[in-house]
Amino acid sequence: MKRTDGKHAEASGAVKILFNMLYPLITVGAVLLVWYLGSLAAHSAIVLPAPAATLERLLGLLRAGEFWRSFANTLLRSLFSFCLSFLLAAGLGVSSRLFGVFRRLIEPLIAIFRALPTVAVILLLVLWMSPGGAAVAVALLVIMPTLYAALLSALDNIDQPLFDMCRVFGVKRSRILGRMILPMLLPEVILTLASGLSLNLKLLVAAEVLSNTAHSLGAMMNAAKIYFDTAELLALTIVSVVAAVLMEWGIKTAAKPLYRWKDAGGRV
Amino acid sequence: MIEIKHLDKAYGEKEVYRDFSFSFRENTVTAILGESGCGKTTLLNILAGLTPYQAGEVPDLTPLSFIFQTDRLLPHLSVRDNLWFVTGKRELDDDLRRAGLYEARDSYIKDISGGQRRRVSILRAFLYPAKTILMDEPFLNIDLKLKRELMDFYLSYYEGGKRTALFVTHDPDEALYLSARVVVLKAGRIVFDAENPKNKPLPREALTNALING
Repeated sequence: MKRTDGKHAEASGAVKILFNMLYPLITVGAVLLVWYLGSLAAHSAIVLPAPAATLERLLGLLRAGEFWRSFANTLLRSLFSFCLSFLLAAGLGVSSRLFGVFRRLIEPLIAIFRALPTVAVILLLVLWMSPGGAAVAVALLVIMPTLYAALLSALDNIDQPLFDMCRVFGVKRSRILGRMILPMLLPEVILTLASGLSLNLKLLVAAEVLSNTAHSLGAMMNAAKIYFDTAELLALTIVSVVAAVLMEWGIKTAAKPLYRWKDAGGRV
Repeated sequence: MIEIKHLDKAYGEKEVYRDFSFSFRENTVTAILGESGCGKTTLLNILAGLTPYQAGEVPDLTPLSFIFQTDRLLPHLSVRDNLWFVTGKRELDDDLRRAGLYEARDSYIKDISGGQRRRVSILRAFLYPAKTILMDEPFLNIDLKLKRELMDFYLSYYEGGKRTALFVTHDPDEALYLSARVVVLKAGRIVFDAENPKNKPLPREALTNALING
């Protein structure tokens, strides 16, 4: 039989962590290399600036007050629209799970929302609303149906026999909601939150670009495009990507202890 | 006596009960023995208010307790919290000790054995303040040794404070071991009905014959 002592196990754990870090680094390195070679081939800072020039511009942005103001505005707007979408999706999801008629009424509307072309919605909303409001509304209209579908599927996955058990034993509704439904939904909700937040940020930035929302990442990108400042455009894109990835990773990591029970399945 | 009168129940075209009447005594265990699909579980679900029926008189047994075929425990709660969830009782140490579950009291359900889960499920049913307990094949798919241990565990609780119990099974040995009366059900009809006194238990052959031949 194979035996491992403590030191051996510790060492293999460290190697595993190292490898886990190595793979993304290799990918990022390969992307940077292709980018660098592409910039050499393009031979134009307008078409494709070198990674070093973009990094320089990024560092310059990080020192500028206007960048932080725009970044904070975009982030707050994104969080606000996401919270709104999430609350609405949760309300509609729970209602659909509880009331079949409501579900039948709402599903066609959700299907239409999900099929809406994002750019068309943004253009219409820009006509109807202020640029800031349009950005929030578009994130709401596009993200909410996705969240609704994910939450409803999680609700549907809670075993009916557990609800029957609660009914037989006359368990209080507040206890069913607080100690059964919500904790069992949590893993799905966290995953939805994490991926939804980054998707929401991407959409919001796109809406800000099209509606030219003042003091936002999107407006900065728009300006960079108008002035052919490709290095700044790429630097802002990197900011947006890093923010989205960090938000997704942060939520997943912070929430891990909340669903330790799900590590292995148990027959219910 | 608890009485069900003239029950009609069908799932679409498939008729399960037609003008079915049945009664069982309070404070005793009555076993309903029958093969799969004979309507045993449907009867319990009707009594528990989980399944609607077309016609007939069914007594309201609430508050009632139920030992389900599967454990129906909440995977994200500990053993102790699962008991609290249903009973609302916080002081559970003595009950957990008696059930041999004290050491596992703070474990998640996924971390305890199948036998322990069954114990939690049985303990939950007995801690819930109800006069009637319905049991739907609670010892199904359990190996013989553990089954005997769990049946004794069940009896120790049952003898401690008798309640009315209706017990559904397809195993004649379980029916003979646990109940004071055995009823054999076939295609929604009672084909055998006899007392099973402790001093003079029913012969196993009688039940097997009734199950096979009706």
